Amino acid sequence: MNESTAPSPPTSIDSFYADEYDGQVRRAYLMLGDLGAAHDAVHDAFAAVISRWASIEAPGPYLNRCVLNACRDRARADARTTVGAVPELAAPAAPLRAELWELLDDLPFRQRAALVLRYYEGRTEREIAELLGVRPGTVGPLITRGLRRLRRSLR
Amino acid sequence: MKLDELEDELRLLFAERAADVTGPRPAPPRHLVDAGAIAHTTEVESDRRRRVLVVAAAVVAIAVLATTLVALRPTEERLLPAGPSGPLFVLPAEGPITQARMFNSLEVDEDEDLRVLTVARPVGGGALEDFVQIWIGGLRPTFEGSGERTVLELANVAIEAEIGAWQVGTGYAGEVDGVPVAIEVADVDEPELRSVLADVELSDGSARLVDGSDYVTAGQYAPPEQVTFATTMALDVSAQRWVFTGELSDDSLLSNMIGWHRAEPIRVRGRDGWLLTSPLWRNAIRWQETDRHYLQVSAPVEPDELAAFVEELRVVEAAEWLAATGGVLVNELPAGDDGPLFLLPQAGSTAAVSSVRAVDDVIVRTTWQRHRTYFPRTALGVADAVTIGVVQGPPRSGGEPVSIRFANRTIEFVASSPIPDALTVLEAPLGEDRLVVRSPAALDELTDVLAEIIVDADGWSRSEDGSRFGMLRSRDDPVDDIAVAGTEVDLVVEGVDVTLTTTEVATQPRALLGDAVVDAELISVLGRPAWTATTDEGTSLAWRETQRQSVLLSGDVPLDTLLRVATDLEEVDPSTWLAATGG
Repeated sequence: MNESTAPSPPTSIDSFYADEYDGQVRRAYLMLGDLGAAHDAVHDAFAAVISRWASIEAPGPYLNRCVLNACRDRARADARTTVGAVPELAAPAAPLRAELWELLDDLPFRQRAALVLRYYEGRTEREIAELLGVRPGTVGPLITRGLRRLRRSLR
Repeated sequence: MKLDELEDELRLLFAERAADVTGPRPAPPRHLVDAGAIAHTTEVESDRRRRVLVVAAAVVAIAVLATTLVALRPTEERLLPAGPSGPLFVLPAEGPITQARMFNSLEVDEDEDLRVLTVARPVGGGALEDFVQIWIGGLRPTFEGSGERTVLELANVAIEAEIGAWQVGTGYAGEVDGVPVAIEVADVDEPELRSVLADVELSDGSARLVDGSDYVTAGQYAPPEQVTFATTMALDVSAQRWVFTGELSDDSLLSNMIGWHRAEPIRVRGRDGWLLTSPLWRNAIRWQETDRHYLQVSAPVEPDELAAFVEELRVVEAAEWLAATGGVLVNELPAGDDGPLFLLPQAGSTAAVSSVRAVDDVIVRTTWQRHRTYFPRTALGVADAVTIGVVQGPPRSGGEPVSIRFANRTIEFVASSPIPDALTVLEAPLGEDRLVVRSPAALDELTDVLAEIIVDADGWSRSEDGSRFGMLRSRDDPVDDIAVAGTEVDLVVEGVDVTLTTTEVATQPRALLGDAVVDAELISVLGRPAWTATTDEGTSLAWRETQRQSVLLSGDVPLDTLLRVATDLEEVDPSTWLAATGG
């Protein structure tokens, strides 16, 4: 998650993994709403990165894309499938936030991802666009739409 | 709720939820601090609060880490027995297995806290040039590679991975006598795992099952230089093992096979088959119809019930299946003596054949619905998930309303052909609108289409005259492929015909707003379907008043502003407009 701030490449896979894993899981969890799926997505992403380790010049950005792609794929799959309910993390939250957390599941993946990147990671629209693989002009509408949909649902 | 309040709540929500994820904390995100509090404090106070939070988080993290390390610290270790060239593992003598260690040519610091059973390659000495996989907590290999350096790195990586892996399934892989082998040990307790580790002797280059109630699948992989899984699978019933040969084109097959951690050979309809049990609450019966085809029925029900259901099925040929479903296959199915066989429910059965997918092998997935249970994930379905849904309730004749479960929602449909032959033609009674889906096959593509519809279900809006309108959008480009919100718009997606009929007309956004549109959304403006669009220059709002006239508002302003302007507009007829403007 550090392609913007960590220009020096990691020296080894394990240090790279140690640096990135937890943050990526958090990101994936917020985007997917399921911790197990988040771990799987990040594992998949690391598997992809490690398999190309020798040829990747900047593994951080590559991992970011892999994680986002993995999350997107899982989100799509989840939209088509329903597996047995996975126990939620024990996270007592304010009723409003608990409702928000549920409502996030109804957002299309890109909208949710954009919200996470903006309001959790504090990224700029340009950064979000790079991560999501969209044009910068698309990010604003994605966020606006996500917020609008949440507001509408909250009413 | 105001927008800024919502934004603050989202920041707090994300921070809270992210904090739920256990493990060492990464650098705190930029918006961890309560935005509401910031509004009432000075910057200094905010910084102080931030520092306090960071320090507190660090203290908690250290405490958690220390507790974890203590809990995971190995107790007295013992060496498990192994074959002459078999793997050697060191496991804690007591307590849950939290570590296993490679020996011989891998020199692992014994003080390291290995949490994941990794790879064994104890044979011989010398350089380690094995194909290695490490399975962590899922049904797919998490890491793979070859070479001594990689092995060490991967082992270190594995060390860092969560031990939660054991909850579902964990495996190990390595090379034994020159043959890379992966074994999954899923959902077993400590004695069982010890038994597995002790009994699996792989000196002959293959895997041997462990006696006992638990079943260990073993895959014989391709040579290391291929490092691939197989699409062609040979089910060796006599040896009670899965053997994978060939090259990779779909590793989900292997993942899936290994995902079944318990298998018992049974007779299915006079054929050798397997009763499979997954840690994911599924049971399945799978058997081989021909050398090339496998049939599988799976459901979250008891095996006996599943077996009874299988017996009710009848095998039909492709032509009969097609005739029954009225379908046209997108992909050419193989024919001839080795051609596909399909399962259809017996007359009166409430089961529904949900999908047929032509891949290298034809796999028939039969969806279980006797319990009206949505069973989304077929037994082969790591990457498939082709089941659209299960028709709820008894069989229906055409024209009766039914509902299906799809994407965790219940959708009302009118089936224009009898259920259970449904899911070939479905019509959605969305007011005046009808969603027609025709596809007996390639349901994965169809599912994609439907998923988009469902995902955008909230986008279905009702105009003032009661009609509804909506849109389909492509997953990849939300603008280019928007082809709906018109009358009789046909969208063909890889051979799947999806027809959406609406009573209102809304032209595609780029036709109204120009090529600069980068994103668009269909909304209702003054009771009409309209597009909001974003361009590099700002926001636009457009709708079609008649077949020939469109209204466009645009500006570098927020959409809300445009909407207010639109709402304030006065409808005038052309002559009034001309008089007012002198045009």
